[in-house]
Amino acid sequence: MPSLGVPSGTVHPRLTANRRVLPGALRGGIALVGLLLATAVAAPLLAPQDPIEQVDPAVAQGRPPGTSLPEIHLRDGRRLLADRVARLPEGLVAERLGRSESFPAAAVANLTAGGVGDRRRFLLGSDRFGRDVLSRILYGARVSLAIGIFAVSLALTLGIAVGALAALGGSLLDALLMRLVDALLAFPSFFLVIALSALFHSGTVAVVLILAATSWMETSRLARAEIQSLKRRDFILAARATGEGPVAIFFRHLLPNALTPLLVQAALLVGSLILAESSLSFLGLGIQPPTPSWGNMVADGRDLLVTAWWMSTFPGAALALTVIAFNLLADGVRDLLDPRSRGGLPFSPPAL
Amino acid sequence: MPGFLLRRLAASLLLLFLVLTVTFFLLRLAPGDPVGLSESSRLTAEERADQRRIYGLDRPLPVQYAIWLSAVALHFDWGTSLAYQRPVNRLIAEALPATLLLASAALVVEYGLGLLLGVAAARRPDSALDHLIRILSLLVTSQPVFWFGLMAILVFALAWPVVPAGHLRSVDAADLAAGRRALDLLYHLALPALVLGVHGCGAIARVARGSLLEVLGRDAITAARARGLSERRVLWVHALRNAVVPLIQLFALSATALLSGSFVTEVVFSWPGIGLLTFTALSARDYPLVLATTALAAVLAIAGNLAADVAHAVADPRVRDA
Amino acid sequence: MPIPRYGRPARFLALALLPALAAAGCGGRGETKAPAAVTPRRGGTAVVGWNGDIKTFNELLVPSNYVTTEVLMRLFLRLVDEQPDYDKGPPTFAPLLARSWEWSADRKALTFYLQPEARWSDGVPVTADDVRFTWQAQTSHDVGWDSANMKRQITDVEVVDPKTARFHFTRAYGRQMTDANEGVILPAHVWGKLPFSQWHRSGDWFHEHLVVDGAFALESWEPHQQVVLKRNEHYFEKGFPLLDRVVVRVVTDQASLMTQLFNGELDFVPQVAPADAARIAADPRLQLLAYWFRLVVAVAWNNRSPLFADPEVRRALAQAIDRQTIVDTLWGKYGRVADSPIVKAVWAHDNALPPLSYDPAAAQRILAAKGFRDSDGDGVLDRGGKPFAFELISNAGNQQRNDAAVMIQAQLKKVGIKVTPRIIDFGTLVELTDEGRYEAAVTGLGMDTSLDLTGNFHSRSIGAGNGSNFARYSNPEVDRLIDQSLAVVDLKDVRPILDRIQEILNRDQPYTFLWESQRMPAINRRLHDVRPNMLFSLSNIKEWWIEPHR
Repeated sequence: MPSLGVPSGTVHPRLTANRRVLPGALRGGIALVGLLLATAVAAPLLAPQDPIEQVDPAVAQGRPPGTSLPEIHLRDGRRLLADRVARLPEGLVAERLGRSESFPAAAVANLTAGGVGDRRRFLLGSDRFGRDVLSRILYGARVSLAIGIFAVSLALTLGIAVGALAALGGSLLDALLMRLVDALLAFPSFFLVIALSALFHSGTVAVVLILAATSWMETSRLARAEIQSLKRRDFILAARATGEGPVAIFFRHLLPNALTPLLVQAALLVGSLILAESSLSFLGLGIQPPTPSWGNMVADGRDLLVTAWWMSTFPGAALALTVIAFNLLADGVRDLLDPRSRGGLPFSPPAL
Repeated sequence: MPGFLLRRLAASLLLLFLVLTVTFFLLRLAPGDPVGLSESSRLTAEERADQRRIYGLDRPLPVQYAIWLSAVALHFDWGTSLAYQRPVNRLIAEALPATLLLASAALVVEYGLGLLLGVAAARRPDSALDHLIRILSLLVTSQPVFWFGLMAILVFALAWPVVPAGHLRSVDAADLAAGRRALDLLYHLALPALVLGVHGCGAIARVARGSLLEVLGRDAITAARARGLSERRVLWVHALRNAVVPLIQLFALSATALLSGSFVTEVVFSWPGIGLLTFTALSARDYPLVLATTALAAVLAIAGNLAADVAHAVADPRVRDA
Repeated sequence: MPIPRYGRPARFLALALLPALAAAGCGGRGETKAPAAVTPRRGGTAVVGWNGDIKTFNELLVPSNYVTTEVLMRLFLRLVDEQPDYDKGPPTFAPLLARSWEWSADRKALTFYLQPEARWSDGVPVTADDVRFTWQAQTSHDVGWDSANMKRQITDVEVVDPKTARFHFTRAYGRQMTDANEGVILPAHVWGKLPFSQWHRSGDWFHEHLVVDGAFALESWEPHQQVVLKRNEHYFEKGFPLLDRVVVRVVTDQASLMTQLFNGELDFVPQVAPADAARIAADPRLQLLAYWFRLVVAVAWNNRSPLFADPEVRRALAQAIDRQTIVDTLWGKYGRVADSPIVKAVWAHDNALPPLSYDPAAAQRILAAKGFRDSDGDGVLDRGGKPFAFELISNAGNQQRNDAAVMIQAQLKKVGIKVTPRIIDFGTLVELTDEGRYEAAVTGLGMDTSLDLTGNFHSRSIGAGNGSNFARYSNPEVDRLIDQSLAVVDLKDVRPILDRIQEILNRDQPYTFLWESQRMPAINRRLHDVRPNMLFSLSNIKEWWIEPHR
């Protein structure tokens, strides 16, 4: 999908499976994607803190990775953080915001002999509101992955539908649909995205719809090409000769065979749409705060790259890792189907 | 072939017209109004009415459309920018060379580097080099362009300052001799072009590798090897020639990708190109400017698609007769 | 390999004006002076980096924007120069293009006597014809200038003699000088050649026919990249400016702006983010200046919405928002809680306003008394079946305002109010707030030194195109008081009226004022005598001087 800076998927030789051994790329890809999905699902269990709650933002903001701050629980319900606490006979003295504040022992709920019993740790640092970057990355996985997967599913469904209709519906329908696809492809995607964001309320649903709307066209072209070449094949002609209905032929023969390169493209598309969401956030139009998505975390920290690099770098790394994972998966699937010079094949590829 | 070409050309022109018309009306649908985005707190209804009249925004929409369309079709006059109050044609003419320069430089890097890496990987499939190249190409493509750009600025313009942090030229470039001026330009072009190019070369490398591997497995190649041709000749002459076809298609489609990629890069590097212009124009609801840049992008996209289809048709005769 | 710098041979000039410099340099709160370690010298080039584009050379043609105004003020002159003593009292003015001025007995006429030495860069003297021509252009319906409204009380500009111009007003009122002085004086003998009806179609013509009378002239212009200003040898004030050249660079990305400041490519940046301030202050090559700015960021409640129609509910909301924590988090020591649209640095700020403290318990009591209870146990208050939930919009591109929306959401959640922050682009925000199609918005209220509160608080400013009262606040007493304040002839007398207005606003909370913040310009220490202020960042640029390049 040539949109927002990421080149589209690639041209695939179309083939059937060669199930000798699962190539390394595929294994790596499956493992990584699986790990990411598991992390996303398990985020509430893994995340040390709530990703949205702001606890004493003025003190906790902008802390480098590895910071650990004492956390004072007051009896009136407030929770405060401090740079340092010291225990006095009458209570507690805490250094925060460049001042010393003292608290009588009666007011502090988690008083211990040495200070207070709780600490707040920021393994990967804290963001501008003192929220834990690690927790936000874990929860952000849910958002980013969900967006990628949903948007791609939508794009895939729409693309296959339009592509199949074009390939099977006669030359007039084909011409009409493909011109429509061309027209939509001709729209500069950034303009479309901004116009659509302006027209619809920005939010998760809108982002998914916009991303799907700007990427189904490539899928439809690929689907059309696949089905067009498949429909002339002997086994399809045979199926028609035996009187199978067109719908049955489509779902039982055409689609399964056309699906593999489409799935490869889909896997690549997940990666590129997750990246596109981050570009949307860069322009201020992505997932709305306070919901964390890797994209808006990178965008949030971009003004502070010089002074607080961790706010953008870690989500950026998570982004990259995810895209790599999906690309590996796509590569692996393609390797699985790729005709290598070694090893025989039931079909030879059409001359390009 | 000529019939095919003519039909596609006619269709492309129709397409362009459609895109522009839809854009024109879509822009007006979006909330926001160019009049009233001023930073002055004194703007009242009277001034707004004046400005509406001066900019021609007080006429009914179809009339505005007709006026605009006839100016474009008859005189190629894309109007006056609302934000800059300068002719749109001139704004685009000023910005286009910068974008073209960046895009061409990035393309050279992208394809040069991509081909080299792809070939190196394909020559020794499954070797350590192959894996390394595949991993690296994955790594670069997997990051957002703006992120890549910002990191590059941090490293190469701040932490270890070897290049400037943006812009087209140094402040005093006008005083330099022509040769030094060209060098200054190259100096400023280096980082953004590399950022865009390296980011895109990953995809090229993978396609090149895959395509080359596929071609190398063909009977024709085996036959050439059997005939005793050197491996180098086999690779560079026979295999590459066939492997390049998907790359040509990709190249044609890259035009749009490069435009939108350079769009973000231009913002990060303050590169005075079309991308930057479009971005500010959209925020300011500068209708004439947005329409012109949309037209430009649409022409590129349509031309790219057309070229890709032509390349495909040249390669696959079945398609052109379809 | 740093960027080559411009080593012009240093020319040391004994400046008789040094004592005048020193005298002019004193006064004005909120300005910071660089320590005078070396003697001022003439020469050199300073590079200013700005996150905004210079749109045009004729300020009447485009929607006003800060960068364009600041640059054009270096090329052209206004009649008088407003002084940055806004902490002490109503605006005072120093001579600029006008050497002196006098009021008529009934104060309906204001006569300016122009500098005898002032001339345009083509040698033609600046005359009263230019002043009259400028007024005609500013008020022409074919030009459609943004701020034409300010000139509506001026009936005529009379050319008494080549160096004397007389403004005639419909009545005497406090802001006559500010209104007369708004906008730079344009060259009649050149720009008068083009009929006003063609001005908007001839954008580049003004650049091609540029003659200036200010401290600087235009050396070169690369659109969207930079403007290079050079010393105007015809400038009437002898000995100024000290700099040979000023380059204004357009930098579109904040991170790049900072990078260029740190690696020495820029000498002056008008605004840095609070998070960068510490690092700049710690860098020995750089210096952070700071002054309180005349912008108050507030939450605009749509007073016509059923949720926010009741001022007591709005007060409860104000008490449920921990403004001090917001200020501490977003601005640190560079911001303070605001309680009025008039900032504390300005003389007319009411220092006796009863503070609205952060008291979520009190807020909950008030809301409960108004019928808001959590009847369905979902954690969100409701009344009459409708939950207390609303969307808080703010504009993309302003980090602090977006952050404020996020913090307000977290804070109001604690009292059971559900806030959904939504970041939208500026054009959309303007339209929604103008037309009242919003619930709450984080906006900025800019108050210039004329202290005219009509735009934000008068009921006639409600509605798209009428003004900026997007809170849709309608209070007849405030309307009356504002009208009174505009009729006052001596601005010193406006104080009690403004105090009363501020009291009412504090009680009614049509907007909940969040913070005032400091503008933090950063300079490279080789640049000296830089004194930006609330009026203009490049205020005293003619006095700036730079050490020779090492």
